Amino acid sequence: MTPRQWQLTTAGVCVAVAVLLQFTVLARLPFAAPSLVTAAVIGVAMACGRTAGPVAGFCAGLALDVLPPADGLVGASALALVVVGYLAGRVRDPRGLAPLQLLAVVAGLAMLAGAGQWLLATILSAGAPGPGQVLPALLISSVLTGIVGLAVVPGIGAAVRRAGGTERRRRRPRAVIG
Amino acid sequence: MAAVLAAVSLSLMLLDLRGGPTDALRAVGAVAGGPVQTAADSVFGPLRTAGFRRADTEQLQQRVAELEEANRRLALRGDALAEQVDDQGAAAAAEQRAADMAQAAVAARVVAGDPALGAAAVTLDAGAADGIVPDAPVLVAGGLVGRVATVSGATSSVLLLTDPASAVAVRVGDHAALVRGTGNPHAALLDHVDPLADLGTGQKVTTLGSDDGWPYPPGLTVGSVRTVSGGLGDLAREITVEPAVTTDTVDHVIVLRPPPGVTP
Repeated sequence: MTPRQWQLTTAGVCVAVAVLLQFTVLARLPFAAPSLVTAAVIGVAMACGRTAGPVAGFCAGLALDVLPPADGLVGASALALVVVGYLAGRVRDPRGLAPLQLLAVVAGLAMLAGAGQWLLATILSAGAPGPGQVLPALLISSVLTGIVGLAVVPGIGAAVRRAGGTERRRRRPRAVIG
Repeated sequence: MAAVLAAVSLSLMLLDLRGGPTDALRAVGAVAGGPVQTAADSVFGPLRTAGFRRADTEQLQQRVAELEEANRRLALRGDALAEQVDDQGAAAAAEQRAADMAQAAVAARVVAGDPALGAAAVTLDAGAADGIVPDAPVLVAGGLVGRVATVSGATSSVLLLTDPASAVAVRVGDHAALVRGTGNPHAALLDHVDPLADLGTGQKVTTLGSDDGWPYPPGLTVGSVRTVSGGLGDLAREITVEPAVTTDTVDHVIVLRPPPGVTP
């Protein structure tokens, strides 16, 4: 396989593991849990770029929508994570971000994804929880996602670079937007 | 690429709203994803309980010692009772009752939860192959947990009482009402209740019971009245119910099978 294919395979494995952990561990915690899937999609998007980010977001979102016991609107999570993947893919290298900047970016994108999914569910389908239930949970979950992202985003970036054979370049470039 | 994927996602949502081929996607997800979740739970599950295990080790060891002692006493009592039973007919009837009870329910383990915010649903590691049917009530020792929403071959999805899409007919005192989930794991809403019903906090809430006792047999514990806001006769009175079972920490459950003669 080419280095690029190794990178994409590594990114896919990271997202798949994140989806499984989200369903089997985080979704069963007795408090608002971080969205590991969102953090993983952001990590893949920042490491692999604007094309791989939305693809990772779509695949992860579709898995969240159709794997049991999910019974929400199919496509809602996929759409939210495609947007997250696209926006995160505009940050070409998160190593130029300070930890607080990275936390803010990940938490903001997690908030965007969660709010988007809830709005779509509220507008388009019956049985969505009210804002009184969702907003506090969304706020806590987004902050926790930002904190988790401090480890997950650089971790996925390092794994993807190692898979592509580019780990040796240890310079710290500034974040490039656009 | 992002625009194309966004368009595909939107199309899927529209198809899902029309009740179209997205059901096939869900079925594929259940058939392929359920067993993967079961396997993943056996790998990742200890991560979820590791903190609790360390904290509770001493308490659990003490509990194990108590249970071993209780078990020893019960075994002695059982031996004494067995010596007294000389009626073969009674023994056969007891064995038949035990066999009927084993046929009436399926034990299952929770292997995954719904990651959507406010949603309350879980995946069980037992499905149609184990005799689970849609709408079957799901219980633990403390009371009702929810009902089976969908079933695949090896797994099934359970809609918990606290999910916003859940509604169960209940009895509070002499009054019938409806318990609706709100997404809060510690409070559900008591709806369609008589405004003149004199209800107080702590009052027990049980299932009203369905026709033929299926899917909900009468008398299963649902929870207790948590708060009552507004006075007697107030049409806007809001009553919340605290579920008897903390559904977000349930690990093992019992799923009832339909009684003989009832077609689900």
